[in-house]
Amino acid sequence: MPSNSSAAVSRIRPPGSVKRPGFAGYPATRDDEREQPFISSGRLAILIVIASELMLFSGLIGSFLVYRLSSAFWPPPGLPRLPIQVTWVNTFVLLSSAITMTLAVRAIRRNRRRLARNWLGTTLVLGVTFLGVQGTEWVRLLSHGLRLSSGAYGGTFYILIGCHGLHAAAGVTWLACVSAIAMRGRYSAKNCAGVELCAIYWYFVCAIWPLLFGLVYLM
Amino acid sequence: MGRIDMKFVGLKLGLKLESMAALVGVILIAVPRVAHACAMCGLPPGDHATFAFRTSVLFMLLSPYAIFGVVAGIVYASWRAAMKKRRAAGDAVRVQHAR
Repeated sequence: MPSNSSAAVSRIRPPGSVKRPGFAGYPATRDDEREQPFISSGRLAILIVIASELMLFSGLIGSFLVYRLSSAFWPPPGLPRLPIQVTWVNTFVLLSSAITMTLAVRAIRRNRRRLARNWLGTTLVLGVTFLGVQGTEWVRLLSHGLRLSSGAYGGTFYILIGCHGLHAAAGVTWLACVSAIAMRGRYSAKNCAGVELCAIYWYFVCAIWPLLFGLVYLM
Repeated sequence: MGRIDMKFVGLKLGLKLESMAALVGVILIAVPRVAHACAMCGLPPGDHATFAFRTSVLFMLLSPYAIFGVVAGIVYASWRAAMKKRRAAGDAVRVQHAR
């Protein structure tokens, strides 16, 4: 009668005492490296998420292009113009946060945990600043009479920029979680996947913004 | 009792077909306008909306290819980097064995 081999092994040895190379503190051998996938599941997952988010944004941009290019006057008469100078500064803030995120990833890959914590904190502050300025802008525009119901101009502005704002808020929340974990010293050069995945998502948030800024504010 | 008069049924069906044909005829005569199949067909040449629709359609047509092309490029670059690393590791083992 065939017996279950793993059950037989577990009867002989307690589960913690089974030696597996490249696992539980044992150094990884070349064979273990060969078994690793060429792209991690986390990275592939975040790439798929970003691709689907980009599809959503391309649909929204497509509808914006129809309204924007078919109208002779933009903004329509009687509606307020969008604040361009403040948004230029805000764009600079967001793009700076991408640089600080890169520095954080570089620091954690070199196992400089304190430096990585500082750069993650800086990125978080810049992200919150971006969202704060966006929120202030929205409040001012609402007080000037630009609403979601203000025709295609108001509708496309709030939906496109609001969609990006939601993504930025999600990124800031993720960044806050990663910063909190980094404060406890959980990340190191060998265990930095959390920081890298958060960085990929943050790059997406930063990369899509100049396109939206150019289309909605400058075009 | 219970038997169906087939002559009566046929007569009734024939009347129905006649009335339906008459209805379709009336509709075709009453609505002689040309129906446009797309949003751009009825627009005059050089209209802003034509350009807007064309640009938007082209953008939305190209963006999936661009997005999935970039994702495929990243996956391919990761695969190449992994292969290069493995090859380098294999070469190092061969050199050690040769010594």
